[in-house]
Amino acid sequence: MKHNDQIRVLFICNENAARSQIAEAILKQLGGERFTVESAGFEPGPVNPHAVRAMHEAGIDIAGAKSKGVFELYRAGRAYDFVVAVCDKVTGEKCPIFPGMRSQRLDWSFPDPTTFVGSETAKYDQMLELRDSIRARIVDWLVEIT
Amino acid sequence: MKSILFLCVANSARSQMAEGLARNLFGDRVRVQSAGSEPSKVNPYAIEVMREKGIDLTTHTSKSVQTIDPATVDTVITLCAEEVCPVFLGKATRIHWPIDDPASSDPALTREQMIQRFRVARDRIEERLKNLALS
Repeated sequence: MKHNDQIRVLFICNENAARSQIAEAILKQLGGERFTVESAGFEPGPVNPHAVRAMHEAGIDIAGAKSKGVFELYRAGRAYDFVVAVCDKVTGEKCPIFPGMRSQRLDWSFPDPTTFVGSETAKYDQMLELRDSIRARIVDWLVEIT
Repeated sequence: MKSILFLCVANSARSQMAEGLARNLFGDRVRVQSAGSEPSKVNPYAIEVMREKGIDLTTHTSKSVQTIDPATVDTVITLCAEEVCPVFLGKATRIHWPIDDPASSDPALTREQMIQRFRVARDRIEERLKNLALS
């Protein structure tokens, strides 16, 4: 990969509500100008308020983030170097594919926040844990590819 | 999945709607074709219910499966229910979606009932197409 080319990355999950939004924001912060980063979901839903708060606590504002659907991106003919699925492989959660592309696909399994249980505080704590594990995975990946 | 061929008998309603819907969902990322074993003409009700989705089928024509080069297809989706679906030779992955034929020659069916049958088929096909994008 040439150093002066931006690396195009798409994170995908089911709703583009938490995991892929968090991953997009963290890679934008850590990767800087070497990357163009987007995220999308199969059935886009509103961005998860706990995700917004957890990111705010880490100094990243995703309050204005909009969920996008994968079909919008198919139609727009967008191309990526990496398509990173962040659905939960442990529970067999399905994740969108990006058909007809030469992108490299990566599968990073993270738990689905819609399955978090307990009080709002407990759910928020799980969101913080999720945010930190996504950040750790991205840090490792940046070391791998650069 | 880089190129899909939709097959039914007449290439008139189901496979034509599937072709239009797949193009609309996947854009240029996927090559989309349709054909039938006994091609006739595009069903006017199919044109009408697809127009409701903003998709134009008026430029489509019914084609024979024999005109399709197997080398251009990696996924074959057959949409027949009771009828015998055409046979397609080649190495493509085969998927079968049994969708009832919305066309009918029953004179007791009103225009509104016919439109409704086509809407049901269209929406079932679209739901299945969306699920193709999941793995």
